[in-house]
Amino acid sequence: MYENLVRHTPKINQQLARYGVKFGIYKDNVFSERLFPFDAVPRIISAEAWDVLERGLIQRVDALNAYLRDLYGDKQIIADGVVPQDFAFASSGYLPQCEGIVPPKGIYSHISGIDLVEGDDGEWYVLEDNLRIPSGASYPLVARNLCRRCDAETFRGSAIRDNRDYGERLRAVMDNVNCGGINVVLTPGRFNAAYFEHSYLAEHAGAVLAEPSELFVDNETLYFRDATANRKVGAVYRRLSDEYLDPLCFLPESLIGVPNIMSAYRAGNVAIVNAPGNGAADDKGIYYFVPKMVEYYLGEKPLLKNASTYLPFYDDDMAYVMDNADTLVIKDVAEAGGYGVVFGSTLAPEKLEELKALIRREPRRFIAQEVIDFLCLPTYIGGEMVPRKADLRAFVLSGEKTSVWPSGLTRYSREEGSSVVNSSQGGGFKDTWVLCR
Amino acid sequence: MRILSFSFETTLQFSDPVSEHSFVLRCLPKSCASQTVLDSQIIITPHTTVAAQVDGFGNLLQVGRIAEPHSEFNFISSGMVVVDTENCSAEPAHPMFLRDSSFAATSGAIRTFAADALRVACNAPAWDKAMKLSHALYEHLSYKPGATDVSTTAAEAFELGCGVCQDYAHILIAACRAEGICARYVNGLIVGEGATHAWVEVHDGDHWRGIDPTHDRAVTDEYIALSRGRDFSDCAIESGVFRGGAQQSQNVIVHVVDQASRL
Repeated sequence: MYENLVRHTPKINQQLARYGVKFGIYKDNVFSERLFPFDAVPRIISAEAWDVLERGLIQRVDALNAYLRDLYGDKQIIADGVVPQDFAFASSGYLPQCEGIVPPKGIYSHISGIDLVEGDDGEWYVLEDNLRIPSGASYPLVARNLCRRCDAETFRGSAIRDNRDYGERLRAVMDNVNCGGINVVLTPGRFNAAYFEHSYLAEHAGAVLAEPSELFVDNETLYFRDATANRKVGAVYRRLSDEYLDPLCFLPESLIGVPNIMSAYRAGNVAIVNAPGNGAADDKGIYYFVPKMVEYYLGEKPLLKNASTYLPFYDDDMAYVMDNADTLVIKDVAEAGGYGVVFGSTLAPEKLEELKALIRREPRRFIAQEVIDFLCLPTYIGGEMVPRKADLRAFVLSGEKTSVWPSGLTRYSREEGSSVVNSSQGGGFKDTWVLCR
Repeated sequence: MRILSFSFETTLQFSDPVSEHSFVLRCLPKSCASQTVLDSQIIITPHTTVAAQVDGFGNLLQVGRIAEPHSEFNFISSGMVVVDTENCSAEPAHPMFLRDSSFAATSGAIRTFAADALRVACNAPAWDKAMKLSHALYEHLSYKPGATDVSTTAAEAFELGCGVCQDYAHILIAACRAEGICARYVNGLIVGEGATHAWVEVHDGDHWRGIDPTHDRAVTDEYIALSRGRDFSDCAIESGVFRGGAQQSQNVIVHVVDQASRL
């Protein structure tokens, strides 16, 4: 059903470059920027498969929001011993400055980017939760538009769910928590690699695009400096990370923050989307506990699986990791991004022993995971169809209700057999088609 | 128990006028088990509206903004506080006070120093250990204004071997944490000192107790706490951001008077 699209691939990529659709992942304080090749062969998800995914994602994000409410509030899950305090407060994303603040309507993660892969066994596995400022929704949006322009027939004839309502969904999410005033998308500025996405989303959500210098706080209220008047801001979708948000609360040297925006937030006069402090729920050490959160807060069995993960912090897991280190992926919880991720199978025996000794010495610092064999998707590279590993970032929006955008960002690896789909490693992206039936 | 009256004045002088000056002040005491605030007020010049808030560490904040150009910023807080260090109520310690923080992170040298100081006290209660660490630190460090600044870390000051109350506090906190004792930073005022002071609270059994490493003694009823945090960076008494590239100088006047001594 996508055969006609494939021949338009070069044209679509030219258009994307012209629009300045670059990929920048703002992750663990590191920004990487580059053109992001588009492959017109989409990931196709059947209506039945989507139904399961959708329910699982909603459940997971609801539990993560409940955890954040609890963590910055009563800390019941820690008192009950479900999440050890060594993990809960060891996360660099945990911000004590946010203790005791209840965000509007109790929502912390309004826009969650959940990264998944489809295993060879046909099951979906969650690899990572992104609850800070997950980027990437604009890429499939723009690509879908360009594809429709190149070949409207394909979309007219197939039962593909429309994904062009992302802007409206974003607006509904902001309206839901708006404390009175306009909606603003806060961008660090036009030199930021993701500026395209910021302006695109602002336009499509009907929000005002603002740079930090256009916002100020007076009397516990956030204002946007308009040419004629100062307009009160009720919700701000900020695309800069927590530590830069407010120099009077976080990093004092931040020049791109809005001084005292946290005072407006504390007073309940503005919603910050996503809430500051969310990093406490999406780091490597906490990931292990997310299925437990689903059971703890919702009293339900988790519908989505984690990759099998072991915490050497627990004796049983330590024993398993010591016996099987050569087949596991070992991740350093303290390290940022892709650093500190080691495949045991790639290590020389003496290096592996060194690593094991380090794990025994500092068990809380590491997690270990089984390597997941995940599915390849057909990908059109160099004039032929080749198999490539691909992941999926699904976007879950928490407004009045939690919902999943029926699309997503599919990233594929450049090299055959490689399971690294990170954009910084040279991969590309695909549209994600969810079928109606 | 003592009744203390205090007045605390800070003046910031700018070489050129600044504008759009946003600030956060932690200059008013808040009531807790060992201190009861009978009365307090603040006057800010140039005049502006301030909002009273409480931060994530439980500190009282005065938050405001002065849009118009000004070359001087002055605030005076004053009031009356009943201090009774004997009256401590059980309060759980947040685990963050056991972890390294940016200014009070342990270093190899501090860890060795702490282990040496406690060689013969391994089973002592947290309070006794902290006092021993304070004694050892008092011997190791010499008080020397100007040798360090507000951005000096515990490890740096320890290496230098000198510093001011902020450095004494940061090193003691780092040493306590290295020994598994929960410790936090306190800003405040004390009787007989003309400037603000900083000290440490350690979690002993089920409650917090104050220890002043600069004077190597337990905190008495002559101390008024203004703000607390993992270290200095969490709870600065004054912080501000403004437009304008001015040089600034600061002048602080503190008066804390024991009301009984006035009778």
